[in-house]
Amino acid sequence: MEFYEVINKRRSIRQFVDREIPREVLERILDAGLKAPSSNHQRRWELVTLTDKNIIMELAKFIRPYPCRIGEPKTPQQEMFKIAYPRQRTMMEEAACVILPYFKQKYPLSEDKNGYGLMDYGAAWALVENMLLAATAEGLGSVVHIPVKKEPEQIKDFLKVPDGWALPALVVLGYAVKDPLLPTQVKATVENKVHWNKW
Amino acid sequence: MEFHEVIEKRRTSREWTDKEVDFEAIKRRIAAGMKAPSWDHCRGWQLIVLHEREEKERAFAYAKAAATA
Repeated sequence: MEFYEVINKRRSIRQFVDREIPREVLERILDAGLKAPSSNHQRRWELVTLTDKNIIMELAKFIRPYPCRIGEPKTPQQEMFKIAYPRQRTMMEEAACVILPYFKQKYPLSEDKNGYGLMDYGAAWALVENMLLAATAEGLGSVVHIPVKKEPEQIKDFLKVPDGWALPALVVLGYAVKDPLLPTQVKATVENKVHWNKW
Repeated sequence: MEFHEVIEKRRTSREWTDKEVDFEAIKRRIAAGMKAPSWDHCRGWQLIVLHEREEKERAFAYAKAAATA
């Protein structure tokens, strides 16, 4: 697929059909992720890739759907909350694949005094975005779940991940249902977000 | 360009020629950046783009002074 078509097509998809993703498709997505830049040129990433439905279902138990009391959404953000909050667990249960891209965390964010902690964390997001775009190019739906509260520790224990590795997001992949729920986009364009030469 | 070709081709560049860049292409790149997901759906981002030489000099004066000190 043409690059800009991929950019324009990517949306967060939270409803998937029950269909496996061919191994070679997943490998192309993972490979695209691993081509992302890393802050120290080391690409110190380890991608735990779950395709076993039983393991995905077990993992999903750690993800709590957020409560959402929005009746009639009044803003695009409320539309998103209404779609996304109740589906944090089900989108994982429906997924054909969940990728957990761990990065080696040399400078923990909790003790970050010089900004170095953001280098590895930020680079890991380039890895995540490359995979979201590659999934789009492959005709897949994708979404991320950012682990919060107790989730990082619980997932780490569940998957027996060694110490010193951090998880920026869970990348959730699958074939989208027909007409998945999509919130209205917030306008973010060159006209309303860019300051030329000074703020 | 085809998506996977873009992925394969991307490398970090740190040396540049004096050639002026196509401004419309810059705008397309920024617009592509704006299509990225944001956790709260609001894309609460603002970009400052340094294009004019004197603005770049002004913005990087501190870094330059530190580098040559």
